[in-house]
Amino acid sequence: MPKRPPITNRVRELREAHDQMSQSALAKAIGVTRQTVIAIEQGKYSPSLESAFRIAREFGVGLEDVFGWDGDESTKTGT
Amino acid sequence: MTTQFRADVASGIFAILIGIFHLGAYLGLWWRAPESGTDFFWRIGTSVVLMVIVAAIIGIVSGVINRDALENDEREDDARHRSMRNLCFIYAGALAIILMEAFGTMTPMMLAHGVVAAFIVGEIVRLGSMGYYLARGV
Repeated sequence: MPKRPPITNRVRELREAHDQMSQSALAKAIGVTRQTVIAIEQGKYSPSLESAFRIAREFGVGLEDVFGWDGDESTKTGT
Repeated sequence: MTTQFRADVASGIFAILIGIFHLGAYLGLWWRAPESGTDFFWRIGTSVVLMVIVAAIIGIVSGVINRDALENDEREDDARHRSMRNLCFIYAGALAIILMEAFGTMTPMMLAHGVVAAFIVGEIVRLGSMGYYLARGV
């Protein structure tokens, strides 16, 4: 089984906090398919930086309020 | 699912079916084997034109049915790129096998149909890869 990306997110939580925004509505707002939103919420897929910014802007919060890092610090790129 | 992805999958399935049809004809399972290089050329040429037409029709119909559908999606694009990479692995392997056999007892018609077989396997791997990558999230 492939390892899940070490990036956590609060997309579902923020979506529900925004008048129970549907996955389709969020998908349309950020320009991806509903399946992609589902994959992001399940932690299976890490969105591109552009989509990450779009999601954060859609909810009116900062990037780090939506996404978090759950990886091992010793696995930083370039070390 | 985006319109582009639907058209891509549809044309992939169509390509596999067309390939199997030509291979079956060559092996004598139905119709008849091509009599000459020109005959083979016409068959493949017609098939490629049909594939383009099918992809265009699926794209248009899918676009009309679902007007709000996106043109593309980053996750689908990612899955497609990875699948194309796997397709290239198959092509490279198939090319090596075909070239190894090319100077042996293979006739030009056998070689040509070997390439058709490589296309079929490559397309099956590509579609399977797309399904796999999308299912796991990419």
